[in-house]
Amino acid sequence: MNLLRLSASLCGLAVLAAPAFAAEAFTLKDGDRVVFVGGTLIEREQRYGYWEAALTSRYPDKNITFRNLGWSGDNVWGDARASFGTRADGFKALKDHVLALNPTVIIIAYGGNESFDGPAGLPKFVEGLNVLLDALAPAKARIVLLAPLRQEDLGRPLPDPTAHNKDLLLYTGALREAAKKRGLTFADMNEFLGDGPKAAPLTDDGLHLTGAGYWRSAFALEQALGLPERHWRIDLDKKTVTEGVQLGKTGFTDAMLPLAAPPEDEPARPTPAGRILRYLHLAPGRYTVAIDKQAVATTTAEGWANGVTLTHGPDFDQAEQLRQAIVAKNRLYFYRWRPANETYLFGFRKQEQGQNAIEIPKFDQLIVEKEKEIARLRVPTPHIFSITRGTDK
Amino acid sequence: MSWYKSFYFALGLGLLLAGALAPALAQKNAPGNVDPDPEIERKSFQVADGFEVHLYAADPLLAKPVSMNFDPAGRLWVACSQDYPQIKPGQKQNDKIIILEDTKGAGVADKTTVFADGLLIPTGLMPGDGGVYVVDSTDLLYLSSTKHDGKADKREVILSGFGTEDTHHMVHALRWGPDGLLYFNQSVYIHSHIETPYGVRNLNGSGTWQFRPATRELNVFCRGLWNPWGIAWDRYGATFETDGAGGEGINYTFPGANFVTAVGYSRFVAGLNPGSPKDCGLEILSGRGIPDDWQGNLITNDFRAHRVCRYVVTPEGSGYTSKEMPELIKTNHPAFRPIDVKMGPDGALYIADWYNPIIQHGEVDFRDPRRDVTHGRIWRITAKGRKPVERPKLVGAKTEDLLEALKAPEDWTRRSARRVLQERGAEKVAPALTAWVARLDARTPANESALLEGLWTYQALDIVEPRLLTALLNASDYRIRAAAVRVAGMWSGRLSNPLELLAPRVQDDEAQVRLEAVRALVQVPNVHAAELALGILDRPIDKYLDYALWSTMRELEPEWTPALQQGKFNYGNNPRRLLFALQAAGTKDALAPLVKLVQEGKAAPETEEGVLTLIAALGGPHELALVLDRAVDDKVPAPRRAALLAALDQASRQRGVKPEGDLTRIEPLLKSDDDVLRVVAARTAGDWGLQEIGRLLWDYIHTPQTSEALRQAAVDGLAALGGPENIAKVDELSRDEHYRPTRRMGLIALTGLDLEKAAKNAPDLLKALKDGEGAAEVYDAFLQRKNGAALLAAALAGQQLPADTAKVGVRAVRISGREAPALTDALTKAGGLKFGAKALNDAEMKAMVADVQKSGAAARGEAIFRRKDQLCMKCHAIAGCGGQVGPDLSGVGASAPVDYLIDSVLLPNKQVKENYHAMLVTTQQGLSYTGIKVQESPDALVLRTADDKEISIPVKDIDERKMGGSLMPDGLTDVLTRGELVDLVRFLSELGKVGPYSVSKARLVRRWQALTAAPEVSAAALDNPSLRWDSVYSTVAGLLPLEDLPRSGGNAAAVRCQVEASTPGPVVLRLNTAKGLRLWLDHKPVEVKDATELNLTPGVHTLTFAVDLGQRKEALRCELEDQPGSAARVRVVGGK
Repeated sequence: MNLLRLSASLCGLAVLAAPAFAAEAFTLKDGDRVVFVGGTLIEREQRYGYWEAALTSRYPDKNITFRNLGWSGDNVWGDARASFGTRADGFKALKDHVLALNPTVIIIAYGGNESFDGPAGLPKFVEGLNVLLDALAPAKARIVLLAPLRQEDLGRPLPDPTAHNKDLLLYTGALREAAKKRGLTFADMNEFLGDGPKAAPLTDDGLHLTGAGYWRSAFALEQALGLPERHWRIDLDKKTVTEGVQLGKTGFTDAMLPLAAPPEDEPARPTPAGRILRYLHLAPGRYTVAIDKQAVATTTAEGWANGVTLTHGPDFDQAEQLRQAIVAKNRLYFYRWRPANETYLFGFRKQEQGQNAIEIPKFDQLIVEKEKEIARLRVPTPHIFSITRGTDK
Repeated sequence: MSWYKSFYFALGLGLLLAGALAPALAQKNAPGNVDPDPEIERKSFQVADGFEVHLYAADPLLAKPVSMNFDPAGRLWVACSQDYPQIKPGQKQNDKIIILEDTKGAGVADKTTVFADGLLIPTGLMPGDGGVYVVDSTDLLYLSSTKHDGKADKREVILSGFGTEDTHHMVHALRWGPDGLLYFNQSVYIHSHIETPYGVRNLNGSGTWQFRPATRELNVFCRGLWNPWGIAWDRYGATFETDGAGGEGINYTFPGANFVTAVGYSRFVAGLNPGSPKDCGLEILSGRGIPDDWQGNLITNDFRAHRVCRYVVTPEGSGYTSKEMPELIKTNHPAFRPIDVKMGPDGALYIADWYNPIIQHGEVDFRDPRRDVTHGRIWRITAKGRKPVERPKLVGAKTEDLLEALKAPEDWTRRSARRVLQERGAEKVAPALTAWVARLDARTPANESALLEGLWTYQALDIVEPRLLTALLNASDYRIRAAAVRVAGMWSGRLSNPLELLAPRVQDDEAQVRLEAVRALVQVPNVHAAELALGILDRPIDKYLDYALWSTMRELEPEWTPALQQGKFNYGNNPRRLLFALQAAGTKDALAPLVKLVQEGKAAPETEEGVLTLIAALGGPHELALVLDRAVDDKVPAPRRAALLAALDQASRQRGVKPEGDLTRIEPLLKSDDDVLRVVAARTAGDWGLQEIGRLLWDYIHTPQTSEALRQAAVDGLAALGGPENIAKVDELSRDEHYRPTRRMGLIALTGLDLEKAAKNAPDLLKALKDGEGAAEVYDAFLQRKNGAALLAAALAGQQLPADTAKVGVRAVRISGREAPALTDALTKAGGLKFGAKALNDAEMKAMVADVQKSGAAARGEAIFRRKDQLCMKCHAIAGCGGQVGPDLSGVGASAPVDYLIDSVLLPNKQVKENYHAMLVTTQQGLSYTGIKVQESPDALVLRTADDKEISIPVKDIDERKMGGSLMPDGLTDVLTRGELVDLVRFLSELGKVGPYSVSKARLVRRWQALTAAPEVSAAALDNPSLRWDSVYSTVAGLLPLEDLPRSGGNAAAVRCQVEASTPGPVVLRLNTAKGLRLWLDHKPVEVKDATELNLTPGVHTLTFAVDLGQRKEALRCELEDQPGSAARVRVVGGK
């Protein structure tokens, strides 16, 4: 049995990156407060957390916080937020909620719901969008306009989306135009979701992403934002190491965590950007690579020479913990900003249960604690790689 | 005795503990220390004869069940919420879906599986498609077990965006409809915005959704009700709902029906049992496990009063009547909370018992330590001596066998078989279904029921089957035709000839079929559908048909109004049809055709008033002049002229539009012999500013013969005319000591003309009012106006008022919901009033709770409640009879703990019952109004004020509106001694509990009107329309005590009541004794006996009793009973 222990800093090794989208480079800074706002696409993200985990993991040394203000069925007029009030009340709620968070980055995802009004509704949408952008201007935040997702054709009896997709393009065009006029970032994930017609669907009703859809689209979001791809490659060569000798002292440390694995119950699909480990010049035979003693892949010397895409291991475990902490934080924040029983706690029946409204701000401290956990989890930890030769087959 | 008494003792103890100990421990002792042993609870049940109740499952197998449904395998899925009413900071959400199974068929659950956890207040669930649909606060989830190990490992969000503004209003009551769609309800505080592949679907406020998971089509089936908690279909698909926060018992619903609270709608369908308690859950009894006389009965739960209720519905016209029968279960066990009810696979009835002494979370603190979070039961009810129905094996059965199961007598079996077929899918089922249907000859009436099941199965499979549909549209059983019509509407977009199929059904002999047809036509959006719909006017119309056509014409308006303008709308040249359409639409486009009708003289006499009223409501000066022509035409009967003039006056008040031309044409009307016409003319003249008639109004005010109504109209008219001269006259009136009524009228009118002067004149007037009578309106006039309160306060400085008059003022300030401390201060000083501290501290509260249990006397309490000066019944009804301002108190004792009752009496604003929040409205004219919102249309907001009057405020005039607290003023009980207060609370605490203070199901007359101080009681006297009748009410037991009645003509009294016959025929009027009574039916004398047969025509009838008080001492008890063999349906009219 051959035992090989390796260690080197990964940072400088092989994180290949190329901005896929040539717009002004989007990046997040230390201290950023990112606010997501939109309809179901945004609202459900908080329960899966893949997008937020992707953006969080990219900046392990930066303190960036995220708040999800998505509200199903919403539009640029804030209709879904009106509760007992009018459209004006809904818009005010939308504006006030966003501004109260002092955002430095606002990711806005509207246009999909509005697009069902067809070409006739377009001028009204453009007007509403501009009113919204003006209303959010006092935040002086960097604004991203996110294009609505194309409606997938999942076959009958679900509807044929052809006509709606034409309308969606109109609304997407209006968003692009508005972004251009105002110098905002425009991000269209559709361009990067091109797995081809035979790919497993990302939605279950044509419109709304499944867990796997959020996982898959997280990569597309990064690309649409012009962030470097998550390529990662380590080449090891038997000649460069000595058997049984540990190199360096700190072990491998990733520049960033990978994105957590997709939900288990979803059909397998290709990882858009892989972590590839190559091992060159091994003597013939089967080898198992373990990271921190956790076996991550077993294949032949030839296989190792071609490179193996890693899909699990301690980094993935940590990434999953990070995602879950994000989901938990989002749930706490949901209890905080959209508490049930609003009618009794803050609304026109508050004289009955208003005394219990004091409970609601208590979630703030729990959110702070969760964010400390997120800050800890987003930092990659050093790992020891080992390779073991198994019996030949 | 027993546990009943020990509970009261224990509750007191429980409260002591709750105050002293940590919440966890207190909760343990919580349900008033009732022993949670299910057997003790079971033994407390009083069960209807012939039934028995057994425990199916109990804690710790399940806790806090909120909703349940069986799957076709016979497993009972239960949603359980311990997180309700609100997640606590630091608490991990962990509500559960559990499955209960009776694997041995012994009638007891012997297996429990936690299928899913980690949920947040799952208010509804429905197994299906291999998993379960679950409402998880904002989302509709689909949970399934990919490993088939009984644990959900896959979670899909199917729909999201349901509101959570109130956690007992969230989406609930999931059920598969006969059409294979998933129905679910949401309640009044919820606002939902759901993205579907077809666009966003919205529902603000209450309603019922329908959803097809396979296509993700989501629509609103009907709207309204406060908390529509139960839904059920009878075997023909007729649909019923119950309301957990409304009071109309069973509600008959149909596509597009709007009930009270429907947001954005001004016209509602009424429930079938007005004056009922709130109900939750709904199931229809069927099958071999149920005795014959219970078949088809509706079962729901009065969760407040611990009752499982039974209703019998009977078709009548296009709708139903419903009668409440004695309960299936009643009990005084304080924690029995039946909240869901379903028939099971074994032909038994199952009840989910939430088991909690505390219900609701609006009025009772979220964190009240008495809230139970650990218990819950499922009860199984069977008819004694009947063999259980063998549980059908449906899952995995052959398709042919499943189709045969569609003929089963049990609704459960047919419904479940259809579900299995639907899940099996079109490909596997369609061939067998087609063959099965082909074997059933549609011409044989006996096959029609099975064929309807077949049609529904096609619908569930989403296969359009025009041939079967056509056959059933022509079925011999009208209920099947009605069901087929609903299917035709839903399929209309995929049928080649929907109008051809629906046209004969619009003219069907049976009203229910016509109703469905008119509603189905909405699904065919074109002008011909509208033309067809109007055809139902050729046959008799009842309230449901009228509603159905009205809503159809409104919804189809974009189709037919353009056609009308182009002269292409074929309404059969029938003005009645056109008028109906235009009234429904209510748009300006209606004007031209209406004016044409009038100008061409084509409006038939019976429609002309409607046409003209509509013109008055919509027209400009030119069109209004046409209406005025008729109003001044003395060939037109006076009542009609009054109605037309009133419509013109309204146009002037609401829209500021007056007829063109000479307006003084109305002067002769002011001199008419008809008082009603004179009254309207006086107001109108004032509103139109006809200065010429000021003199005439002034004369009327001073002529002694002038009626009170005309005098008021004259004062109002004078005030409306304005100008220095008239203001001086009104001022003079307000200071005139000779005419007290006109003086008060004058002062109130003056507040609108010269507020400062009015304030100056007010103290002298107020001093002159006896016992503060009539003072409330004076105070209101000031409170309504900006600075009014401050000016009045200043005027009262240093003055003295009678204490009662001052008290009325303090009460008026409180009711107004506005801050006016200076006025309250001034009134307190002027009246020498003292207001003590009312809030009880913990020790005082405990002592009072103990006294209520120990020494409170309910009978004395009822007498206090009924005291006129106590004002309770001015606002509160019992069994629907009494004031309508505050909540009906029929079940309050069974639902509210004693300390909450005490609080509610002393501090009405501390907990305000759902739907009883005052709305404070300020208009652009600077006027303020306070009242409970009754309804709101795009044009007008209707409020019910504290003195039970409805006022309509034009929406366009509203400047600001906000929600306030209770309309019930503090301090109503200031005058009571502590002992009296204890008695009053004891009475309230007994209301609804099994015993003398639970409202009987008998049709008792509870609301009477008593003749006030007439010179004599005779037929002639009773006919005199100027006599005053005031409402008086029977006791909870249904007795009208005679000693409270006003005397007339020596030692006699007269009382009257109303009954309404919806189906004519003979009915029996049963009296405790006829001694000393004379009786008139609609002013016709009737010989009165202990049991008197009355043959009633349709409509409302008045029964008037003259009581010889020398002869009769017994209180009056009067009840309606069915006459054997009679078809008559008669109800007693309740209300205020």
